[in-house]
Amino acid sequence: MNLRWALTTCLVILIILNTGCEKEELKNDMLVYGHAGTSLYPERWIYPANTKESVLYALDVLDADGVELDVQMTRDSVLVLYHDEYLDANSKLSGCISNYNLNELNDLNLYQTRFELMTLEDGLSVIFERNRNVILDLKPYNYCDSANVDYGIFNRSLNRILLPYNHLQKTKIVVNALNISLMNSLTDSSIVRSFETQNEELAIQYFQTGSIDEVCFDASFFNDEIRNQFEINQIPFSLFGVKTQSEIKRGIEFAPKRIITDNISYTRKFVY
Amino acid sequence: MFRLLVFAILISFSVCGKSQFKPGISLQTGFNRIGLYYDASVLFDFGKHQAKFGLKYYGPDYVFENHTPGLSLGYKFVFGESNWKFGQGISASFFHENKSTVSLTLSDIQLQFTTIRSMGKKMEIFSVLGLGAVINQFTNITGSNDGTTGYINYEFALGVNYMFGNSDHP
Repeated sequence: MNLRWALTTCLVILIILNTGCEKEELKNDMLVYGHAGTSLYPERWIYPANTKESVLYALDVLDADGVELDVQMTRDSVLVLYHDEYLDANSKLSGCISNYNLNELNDLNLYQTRFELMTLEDGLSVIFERNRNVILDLKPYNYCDSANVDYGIFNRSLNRILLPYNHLQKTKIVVNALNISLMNSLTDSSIVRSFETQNEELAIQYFQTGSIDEVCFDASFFNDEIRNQFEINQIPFSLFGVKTQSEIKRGIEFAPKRIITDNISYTRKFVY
Repeated sequence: MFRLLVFAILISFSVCGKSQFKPGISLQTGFNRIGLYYDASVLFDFGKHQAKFGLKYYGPDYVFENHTPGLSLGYKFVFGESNWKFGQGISASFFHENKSTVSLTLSDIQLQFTTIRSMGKKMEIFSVLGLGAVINQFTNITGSNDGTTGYINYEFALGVNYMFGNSDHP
């Protein structure tokens, strides 16, 4: 009796696990980007945000279509990947990225780990070796000096990094910014210009004047009404700020062109 | 793989009456850096030595896009004579998933420390703390990129063991 019960139980478990649930699929061509590599949030890290290891994990292991990376400029005009306004909480230095030269940012003890700050140049190299996509979230504001960095210098630094890449490769680069003046300072016509906003009317205005190509919206503020406006005006849009399973499901339902997620695998479950 | 597992289970139960060990079932759920998992295994209790093999399952979450079962193996040395016992051992589990362009093989190997509480002669509940490493072997289907990465893994789990047959299991 015990033996029969045990065998039956094991077989039932095997059958359930073997059949499982069918993969839910949406028929769309949405691109899934890892947020700051794999995830911006420490509780979800395998590797720290915006590091080379985080980018490689997102692309090589989790099979993301691309990654979103946060870009700031050092004092000697080198573009590096770092999200926060200040260095204090995450490194042995205090202050802001823009107040240091690149060589002063080596051996940062970043997030109290062995991982290093990555330059945008190295980041793009890794991404294009794998023929993937990237969203560059430009952060020109220096909170220590309460001022933006020089947009002309920022643009020249970006163009220098983009020089090795052809037009087709550069169409895989989306530059995202809160500041339309910075966007208007960018001179490379191959890259995709994305405006980050919560003001859909402003976004529509900029799109219609040709200042931007796409809009980037916080998913928690997005709704069907905004989606309909973008659809009527034929504006491609991206969503970010999807972390939990319910947030991801909700974001997917709006069918954005790109989705920036802190859970790549769960998001991809719905996309392909 | 499933047919092989079923065959192994059938063989093990057919010889259990003739051997010196007590068979049982182990059900466990836990959380680690891969995600939330469920483990159902056949248990072989040799007194101070316990071995198990079975299935571990992860749902679509941090690593896997699909419902992903894998092979689960474990061994622990059990010590203690009262209703409270402790176990030290190792566990290993192996998974494979084909994503859109990446083929991933994941191995999770841990050292584990178990606290066991007997609930009668046949049943015991337990908690597990584990520390080990995850090894990811990936291959891009286009052949453009393959390699191996790894990271530290740690977990906490709860479970129940049920032993079959006549037992003087405390």
